[in-house]
Amino acid sequence: MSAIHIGAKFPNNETGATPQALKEFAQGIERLGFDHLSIDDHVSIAAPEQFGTDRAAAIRVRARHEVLTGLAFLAGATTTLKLRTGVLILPQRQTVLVARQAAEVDLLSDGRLTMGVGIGWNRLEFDALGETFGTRGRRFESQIQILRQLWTEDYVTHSDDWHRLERTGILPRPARPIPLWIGAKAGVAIQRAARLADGFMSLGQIGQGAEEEVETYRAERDRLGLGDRPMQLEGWIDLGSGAESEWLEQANAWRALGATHLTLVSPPVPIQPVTAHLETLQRAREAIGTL
Amino acid sequence: MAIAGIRMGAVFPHFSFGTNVAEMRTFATTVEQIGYDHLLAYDHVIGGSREGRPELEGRYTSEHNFQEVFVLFGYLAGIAPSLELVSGVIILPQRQTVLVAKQAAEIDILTEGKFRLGVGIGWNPIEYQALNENFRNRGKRLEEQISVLRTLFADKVVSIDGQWHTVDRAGIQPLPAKKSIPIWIGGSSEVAVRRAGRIADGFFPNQKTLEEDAANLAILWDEANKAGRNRSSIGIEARISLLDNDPEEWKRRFSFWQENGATHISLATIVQPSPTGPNHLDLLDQAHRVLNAL
Repeated sequence: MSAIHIGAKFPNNETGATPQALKEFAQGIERLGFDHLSIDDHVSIAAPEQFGTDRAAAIRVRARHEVLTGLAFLAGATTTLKLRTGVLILPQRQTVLVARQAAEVDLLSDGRLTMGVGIGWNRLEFDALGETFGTRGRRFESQIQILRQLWTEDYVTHSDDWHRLERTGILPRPARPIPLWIGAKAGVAIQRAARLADGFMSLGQIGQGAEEEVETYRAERDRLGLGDRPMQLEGWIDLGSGAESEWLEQANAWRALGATHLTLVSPPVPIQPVTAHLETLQRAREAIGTL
Repeated sequence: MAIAGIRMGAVFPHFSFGTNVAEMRTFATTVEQIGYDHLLAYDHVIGGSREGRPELEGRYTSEHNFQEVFVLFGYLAGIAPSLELVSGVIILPQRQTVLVAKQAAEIDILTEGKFRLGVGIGWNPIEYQALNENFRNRGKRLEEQISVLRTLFADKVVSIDGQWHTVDRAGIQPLPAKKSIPIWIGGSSEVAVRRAGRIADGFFPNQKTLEEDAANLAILWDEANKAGRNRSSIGIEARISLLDNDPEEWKRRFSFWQENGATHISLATIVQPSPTGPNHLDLLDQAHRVLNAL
């Protein structure tokens, strides 16, 4: 079994939105030997009173970098670090613009981009962007097909409820098909990942649903006759709880589930200096070792 | 470094670099070293196939290599950090306003406040169709978009109930450093020029002849006057093609713009795609020296 790729999530909510913090974090984890960095995506943030208490807590109203322009900045600030969107909420954006911007990030980073996409949960964000929340799953499926076509074909012609493309294309196209992964939690969304994506980003944690999610993913792959193909699976570990020994246990559990990628998430504490995040990540990286 | 008080820019030669990122990088850092104040890039998200579309003759098509302007600027913000970055122009009505606000704010943060958002309505219905936006109402929609952008730049939580926009107690964060980003308008129709005079922070005149440009400026000032705006609150960025003109003509045009109130001038070496392009950087270096000696 080949080694698992270990990366870190940019603490988008906790470092303040300065170019210095972004750069320092990315260069820091690159120096520490991490394989990838992932950035999450929220285009607009609603006022806290718009949410129930759980959501308000989950999405603190704080500055965060925009994912594709932020990764473009990091393409110039790093050299080997793989760049991942984790995840970009695809159905609230225009498909053609996502195709164009992703191709641009991939070009500027010399092919280091993986697009993790998902359907999101925040109706208010869809409203603000003028897209329909209720049909986002179906729109998402159509978008994935169009992204792949725009990345590989000179001209695309396609017509459906959301798209009307007529012999039109983007240039430059990426030098290779950009890996397209799906992050999902619900059963039907996980099945979609098995059917449509190059890889699956699990949103669950070990002991809290991840095992069941991966089982759903595997079962659907088998049902589709894809079981023989190498599986690409990303898990994550919350470094906000537990100690080194538990992180190692979780990492081993992910390996047993067949994870190929593991993303470490440093604790969500209010505006920390980047060095505090890097220290936690370094400790975790050493505790986990080579899987 | 400004020349005679006019801030100088270089136009990113979109079609000359193909996928050669090293050349793009060198272009930006060299332009910075020569002493230009800003770099200006165009915007087309997608192009149509020319086949069976005679109306695309002489226009940009899917054969033209455009860097996506926000992503390019995110990259260049770290590569040439002293340059001001200018979109000249983003075709605003074909994009989602709130995403433009978010990405513009990000570029403002990454450039530490050195970003100017030039917008226009474009001309290509194929592009609007592919992006699923209405081509026909783009002028009116642009006006509402500008107002929505300004609101989103100013406050963390906003509510907007417009003809085309609904935002319910939401916003973007981080806000741009100064809680605003200059929004300039480019366009040649009278309605576009009047719109600029009424609501824009600046205007990009870019006509075929200086006489036409002068006529448009008269319209701009007329409209600004009607709107009770001070001329000094509206910037003017002219463009001079270094390839279509010789150095004597560069100087003549520079003087024309100096006399006609330009606050910014960008110099263009952009050409149609071809295997042997001009040496953009040599030309930009020469022109900067020629004009600096005026």
